[in-house]
Amino acid sequence: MKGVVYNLLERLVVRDHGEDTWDALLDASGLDGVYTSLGSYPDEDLTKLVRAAAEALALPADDVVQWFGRNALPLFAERYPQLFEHHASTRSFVLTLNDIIHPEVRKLYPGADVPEFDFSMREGTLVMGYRSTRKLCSFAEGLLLGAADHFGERLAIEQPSCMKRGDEQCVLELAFTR
Amino acid sequence: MRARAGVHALTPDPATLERRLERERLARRESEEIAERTTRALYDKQQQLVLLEAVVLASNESTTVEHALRGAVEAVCAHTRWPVGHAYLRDPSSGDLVSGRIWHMEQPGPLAAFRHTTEELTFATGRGLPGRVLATGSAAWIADVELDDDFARKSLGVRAAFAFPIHAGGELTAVLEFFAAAAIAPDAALLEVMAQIGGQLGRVVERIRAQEQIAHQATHDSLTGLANRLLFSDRLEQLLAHSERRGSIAALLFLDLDRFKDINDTLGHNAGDQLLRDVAERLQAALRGGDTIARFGVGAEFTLARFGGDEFVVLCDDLAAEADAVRVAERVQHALLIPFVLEGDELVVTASIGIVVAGAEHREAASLLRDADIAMYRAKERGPGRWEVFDEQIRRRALARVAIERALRHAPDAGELRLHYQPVVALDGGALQAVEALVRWEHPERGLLHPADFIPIAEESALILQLGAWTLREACEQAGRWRARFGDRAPLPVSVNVSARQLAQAELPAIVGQMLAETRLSASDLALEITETSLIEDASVAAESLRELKSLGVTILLDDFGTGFSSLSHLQRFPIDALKIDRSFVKGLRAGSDECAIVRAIVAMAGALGFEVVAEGVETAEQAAEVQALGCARAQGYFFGRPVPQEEIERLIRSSAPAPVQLPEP
Repeated sequence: MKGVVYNLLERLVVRDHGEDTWDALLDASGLDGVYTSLGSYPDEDLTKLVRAAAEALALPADDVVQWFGRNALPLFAERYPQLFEHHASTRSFVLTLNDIIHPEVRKLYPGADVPEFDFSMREGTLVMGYRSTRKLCSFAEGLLLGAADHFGERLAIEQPSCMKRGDEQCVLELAFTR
Repeated sequence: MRARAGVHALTPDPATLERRLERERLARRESEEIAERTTRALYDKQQQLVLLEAVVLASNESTTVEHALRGAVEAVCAHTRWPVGHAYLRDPSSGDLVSGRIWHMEQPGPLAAFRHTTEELTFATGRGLPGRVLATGSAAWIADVELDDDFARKSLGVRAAFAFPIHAGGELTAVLEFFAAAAIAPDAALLEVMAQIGGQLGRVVERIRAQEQIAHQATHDSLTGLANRLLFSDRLEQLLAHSERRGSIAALLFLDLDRFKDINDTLGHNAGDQLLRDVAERLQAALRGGDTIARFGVGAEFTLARFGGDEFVVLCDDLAAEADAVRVAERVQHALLIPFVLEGDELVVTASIGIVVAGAEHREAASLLRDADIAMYRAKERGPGRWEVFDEQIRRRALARVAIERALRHAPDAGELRLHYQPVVALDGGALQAVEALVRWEHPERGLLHPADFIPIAEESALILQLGAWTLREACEQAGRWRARFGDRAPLPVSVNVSARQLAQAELPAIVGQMLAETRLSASDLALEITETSLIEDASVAAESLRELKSLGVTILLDDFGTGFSSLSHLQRFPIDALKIDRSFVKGLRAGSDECAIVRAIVAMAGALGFEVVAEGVETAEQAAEVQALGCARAQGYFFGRPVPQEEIERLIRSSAPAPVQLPEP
């Protein structure tokens, strides 16, 4: 996991819950908290932090991850505005994930292990396949919801299959409305 | 220091700490951002280098422009991850851009309509994406074609687009365009790389064009642009290699313009070259005219080439019937019927055509070309504007010719050549005054052959020089013997015929001088007979040679006078002693005939120029009386004596018969 993810998480926790909370989460996870954006850190650091947060907030871990994704998106938009320009809708933005956004990620982090997406249309909904060893579909859901917020749309997500439930891949059915 | 340190609190207040922490945090963020920018720039640069390298590699291996463009389109798509790439080529005549039908498409199915539409369109300068590039000469980017004011191919599955030009030889020659499925903002860095790729491709196009031009020059005639001998022979070999298997009818036409040399000599080489270009154009038009297919079948194919000079060849493949080869020849001759206009003058040009239908005996291109060439000569012999099909008879005749040439080569050494001498007499009194030496060939199988049977064959090669030297030596030796034996009564000078080829030799005077020295013959006992036509061939060399011969003391006779095109001023340039009026004028001599007027005019003209006049071919007493009455001093002909062996001449001298001699042909 890239350090930038931990930086974003730290910013959001500090913004919404204060600096002490972040220190508490680090203490609870037994982590030193030294993350620099271009570095790579063990995936389990994130798992530990999420678990600690879930316990502290008494929420399911997936909800914490989704909250993280949804709130991280505006920070992405602020930092990489050119990726959001020229899109009038969440749909058109999301469709550039494989071709534009992840190639950009690879520019910064050669060899980055980004998830693979595939897209298809089914009765007006965008069906998005997600495949990643990290099984962070909740993070993807959060980012999608955050993108919908960014473009002023409402998004309903159905997830008929999930890798965490033993399926081969996660499938997210996305229905956008204005 | 210690005291001062003590003044400040050892533990700063939380606000100060907060500020320090924030400073550190911001410094870290900034350094991370700098590192990100550098990393991204480095990555982009690396990718650009990889892309440039891929384009360079692909294009360096290309031998055609199409191949180079295809490689570039694929490399750009692979490296930019843009799914669609396409190349336009510049139409050289209109200057518009048309699809080169060179595509890269990740998913061709959904974009079939887009592709079809693109290939149907033509882009003038300023029109659409490619027209924009054509107008500015530089790259263009459309973030979203759906929002563009001038994009004809909307709603066909593409959104973002960019295009860039390829310049070669200072001209925009191609435009490459690329499309993505989603809208994408302009990327100046990417366009910069594309400009570099355009430059690289431009150099490749220039290189390929130069190579193509060299290859074209090596296989085409620079004057007419037609295929040359090399390319034609290559095609012919291929055709012969496959014709047996295909069982098709193929024919070769060998075409030679009639009297082209005269046209070149009269009108100059520029006019000659222009005529060859015009003829090539007519021939091309005749062979690909709209009705060609209707006349010669759907499969009929024609390859036209120029072999240099005024020689053209046509290869006819897949003819419906052998007789069609003749129809092609007639069509070609028909195409030449309309006069050509050269420098404002109309000029009628005809061609002699030799035709050969490829048969089992033609395994090699050379044999087919040789047979067509032989047939062409046969056609030319029959007069201008004819065609002749090579057949068994022509083959036999050609073989006989070759056999004669081969045997003639050995005839002087084998002792098969003889000289016969024809008396030249004074018309006043009939006294034997001189002789003309005429060569005879005692052929081991065919008996005694006259000059007409073998001199024309010898004249086609250097053999005539060998034959001429032999005749000259033999005549000089004989003249020397006669002079020694008969003194003043010897019928001298002896005249020897000199061919055009001999006269064209600059060393002829030296050869004659040496011959006279070796045979110890006085130059005044030798006369050389030259024809009018040989004077025309290379007038300056001829005039120089004749002046030298004249200064040796040799007599110069102009033979067959009246058959060439000599003008008086022309003749004045040459040191001539006498004219021999051609037998064709003597033959028709009767009081009041045209020939009479001509001979009278020739005699008058010769008198004015100081030439003596000898009448040739006098066969009757009437003709003898007539030429004498017209003012000729001397004559020769069957009436006075046929060409005879030396012994007969000697008998004549001894008898000193003043009366006309009548001798049978041996």
